Amino acid sequence: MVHPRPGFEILDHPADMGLRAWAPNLPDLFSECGKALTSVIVDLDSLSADEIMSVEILGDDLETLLYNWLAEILYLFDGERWLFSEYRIISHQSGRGTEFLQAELRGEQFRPERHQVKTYVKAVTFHQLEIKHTEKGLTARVFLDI
Amino acid sequence: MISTGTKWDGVLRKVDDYRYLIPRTYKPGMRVDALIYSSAELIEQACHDLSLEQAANVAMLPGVLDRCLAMPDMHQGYGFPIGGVAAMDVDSGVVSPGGVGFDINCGVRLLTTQLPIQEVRPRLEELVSGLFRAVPAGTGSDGQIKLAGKELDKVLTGGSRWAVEHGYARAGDLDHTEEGGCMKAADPSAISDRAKKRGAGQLGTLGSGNHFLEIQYVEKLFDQELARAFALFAGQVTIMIHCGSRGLGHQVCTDYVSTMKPVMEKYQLSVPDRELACVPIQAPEGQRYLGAMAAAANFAWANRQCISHFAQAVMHSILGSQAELSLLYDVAHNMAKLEKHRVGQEERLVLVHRKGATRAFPAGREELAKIFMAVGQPVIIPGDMGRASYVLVGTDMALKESFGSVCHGAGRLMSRTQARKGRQAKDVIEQLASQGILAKATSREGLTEEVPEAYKPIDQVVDAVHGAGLARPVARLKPVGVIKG
Repeated sequence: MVHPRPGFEILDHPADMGLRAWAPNLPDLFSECGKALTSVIVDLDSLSADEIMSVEILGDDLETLLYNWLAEILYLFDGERWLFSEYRIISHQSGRGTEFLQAELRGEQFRPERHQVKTYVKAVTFHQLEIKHTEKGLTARVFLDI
Repeated sequence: MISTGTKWDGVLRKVDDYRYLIPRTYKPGMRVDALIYSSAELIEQACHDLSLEQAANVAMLPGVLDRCLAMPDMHQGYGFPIGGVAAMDVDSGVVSPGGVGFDINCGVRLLTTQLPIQEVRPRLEELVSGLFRAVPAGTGSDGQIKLAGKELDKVLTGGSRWAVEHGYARAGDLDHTEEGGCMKAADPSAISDRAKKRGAGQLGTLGSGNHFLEIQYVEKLFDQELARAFALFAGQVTIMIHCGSRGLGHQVCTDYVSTMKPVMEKYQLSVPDRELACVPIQAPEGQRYLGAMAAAANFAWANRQCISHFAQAVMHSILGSQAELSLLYDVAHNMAKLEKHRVGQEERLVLVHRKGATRAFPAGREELAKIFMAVGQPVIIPGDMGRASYVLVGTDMALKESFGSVCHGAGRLMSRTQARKGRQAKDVIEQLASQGILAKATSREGLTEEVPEAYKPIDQVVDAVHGAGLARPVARLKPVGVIKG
């Protein structure tokens, strides 16, 4: 049996926060992780999906790909002031020690008067970061530096 | 209490009332012992998260000298425990970006006034509101300083010196700042465009999380002679600023940790936790990270200096020209620095990682400015927003045992989720107000997560470093006004 629906939850950490996501396949898993990270920063419901941005991510392995994917989302917020509510993975390729991801992000520009920031995330960490294959599909765990 | 669900059951030997030891025989790969400064109460708390295991992991890093250390405010971090100290051999050792942390040169400074608290208290509400308006805090708050073109590189190279040249600081402030507020090894070219983009609009901003600006007063003096040397007096109003290198520093660490895997393979390094990713100090990659770290550190010093400048303007406008702020000292508590220390029988140049630990050099160290040469450097230790903060001074014992390092704060006791549970921001504000403390924050969640009970009692932490002989308390500071991100 596979995960009937992708989803995520926020995890406790002594000083910071983490996220756990689950999905039947890797693209959905990355998509859920993106939503989970954004949900730590703002309410997902407060975001529109009017604008589209494309991103390409590289990593030396799957874990680094996930780290870089979430670091990209964080950079787009803190460096470029974009927030996204929808994450669609267009393609994922592996080979020769390189992982590659193409994705389409839907969201809007951050506006302080409209978006109440709940938590400022400083960074994504490798602490206990894992992607696991289970009977139901895939799960991921990532901790964030707050 | 923070709990991972199970109690740590590793090998921990009590050495004395304030020292505990994880022997190098605890697990394969440990190169040195891990010495934990703590107390009966605090060590019990540390056993409920992964911090002791993390201290043992740090003892596995190549080139680690003597023994690695953890301070009484220790709690679980990423790779390194928060409160961790490790000195590395400069030739055979490694530098670990995780041993510095994402917030490079997160640090704290104390500004003093000549005003007694009774004169300031009637104007407290105005002051807190004024400071809250003048010092951008929280997410998405751009600073007032716009850095055009190559100006950011000048900040990264100059640190506090840039602030002096641009009217945000006085030349005398440099003597009151660790490293003179400028790491000479800074290499702006080692910092990505992304890091620069994150930092460009954030100079002079406080950020969020546990960062703060507080109005405090000297509640108690422990050492009259040192208090005189530091120009502290009972009832004196002070301002404390705690923040770091903002998004710029976070991105520097993110960038380097992300690319460490192939570098570690190249140098055949392996670590028990990817957040301990490291690279030989002498390798080009190690030197490049240290250049980027130094540049981010300089950004942090310029940042705290600019915030001080804004705070000064508010003090002047509300209290008049007599409300002059003087910098007592500015310390870094997330940093890796080349310092000379005695290891065994010889004095050596070592790279000291302090991850949530403060340099506490006693009298006589050549790094100190003349004014502190005879007494030692003031060590600024922030507590939680409801209880107290401290000014300490380091001792010869710290130099002998802990590479001249002490604690960096109170250390968290509750997770952020636990702190939020059953609490509303307005309750926290009312609770503080009932103790005579006015608090303002940009984020309700942020304020609730920083509730005083979420931290270990600062008195216990200071008692432990004092008991261990690493530092002596000089003054206890009580908060009366709090600005949070």
